[in-house]
Amino acid sequence: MPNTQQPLTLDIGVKWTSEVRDRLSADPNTRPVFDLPGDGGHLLVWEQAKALTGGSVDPASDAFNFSGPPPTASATTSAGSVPLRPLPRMVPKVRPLARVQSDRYILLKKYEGVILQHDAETFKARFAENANDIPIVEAEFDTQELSESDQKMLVDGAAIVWTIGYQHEGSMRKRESLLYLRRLPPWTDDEVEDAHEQTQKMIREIPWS
Amino acid sequence: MATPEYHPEAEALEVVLLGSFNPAIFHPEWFGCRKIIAEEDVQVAKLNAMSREVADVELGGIRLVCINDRLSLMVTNVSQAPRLQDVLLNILALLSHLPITACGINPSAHFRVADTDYWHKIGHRLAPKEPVWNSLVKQAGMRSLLIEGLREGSFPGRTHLWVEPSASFNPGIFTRANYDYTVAKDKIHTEAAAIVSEFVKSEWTTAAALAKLVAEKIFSTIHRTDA
Repeated sequence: MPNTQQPLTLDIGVKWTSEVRDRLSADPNTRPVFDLPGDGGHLLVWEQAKALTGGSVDPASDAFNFSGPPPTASATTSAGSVPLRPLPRMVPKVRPLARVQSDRYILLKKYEGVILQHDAETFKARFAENANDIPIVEAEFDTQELSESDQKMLVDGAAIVWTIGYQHEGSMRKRESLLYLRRLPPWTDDEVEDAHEQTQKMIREIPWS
Repeated sequence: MATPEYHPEAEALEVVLLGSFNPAIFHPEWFGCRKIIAEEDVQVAKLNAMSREVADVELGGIRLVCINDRLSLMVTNVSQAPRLQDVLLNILALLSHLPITACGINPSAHFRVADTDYWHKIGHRLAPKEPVWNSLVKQAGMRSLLIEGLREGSFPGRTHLWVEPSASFNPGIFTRANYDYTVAKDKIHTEAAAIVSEFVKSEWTTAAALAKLVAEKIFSTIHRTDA
């Protein structure tokens, strides 16, 4: 959510467009220069214009053209102000935070599991769609199905994800099966202790006979 | 009769943290050297913006946007959702001092609807036009419906659920959810990252499924053919 408490200045590098719009619309002397869906999901970023002369940048782009002469650097000497070459013209440009999807993915199945055993060529893993699933699925894969970096991380007990879905690219629909290892942070001491306690509790509750 | 299984035509999952952040730290190289993201993904990461004020990075199928008071991670290919969770948990573990004020898990999904009549029926059933709306405007139609609910349990908070017409699929519906948790004020500067990490681990599955759950509930209770 944009922070509306901060004062707005247009010379800052980045602002939420919703804030800029609100400020501009609040000033009766300012012509509204843009109107975006009010989702607050856009950034206003100052970028160097592609053309240094003229008022227009690229009419096809989503950059806004603020009228006025380009800023000029100057140096003050005993003889007065000496103009230097013009500074690059900076224009505000809107960047959407949520990009319009040019392709899309339809998830059909997602399994999470652990590696049970592996060797140089293959690995076997146990999967479940949900934590309480019975029966669980066991499957064997070629190690080559994993990316090179995941192959280096392959150990028994490693957490793994297997997804099946449709990848849409333009008019094409591809069925995709994806396997990758999870990169979870190490267990904390509390988690280890908690797991130990839960294991002890389960052992105690087994009705040995 | 078993409820038919509806697959979304498109899905997204976003996790948003509010607090105080240093955007410049979230460079692809940082994720690479910490082994959070595979080296191959670091090599092809896309830097849209990187400065003291904003980081906008695409890496490993995840879009990361950080402004001083907001960090957002999003996937539009939900096969990468576990990877997003891994990245988030690693950030929270490595930057354990982060002063985080709130965390929201926000799934969204587009679903096709069989025909326009059924689509209108869903809208009318969710937001009846009588007795209020038809007397105020012509052709009253539902553009957005937001429901807020309270949550109890270990991570109490509010859950927001939206239903809207899909802008991508016609006829279709767009469902989204915001499952948020606010960190207690006295914990923000001490253990917020650890608390948010627990929230993410504990509530992830429930929260991430909410957009689909809303649609499934609609399709299973508002039938195409009944009166």
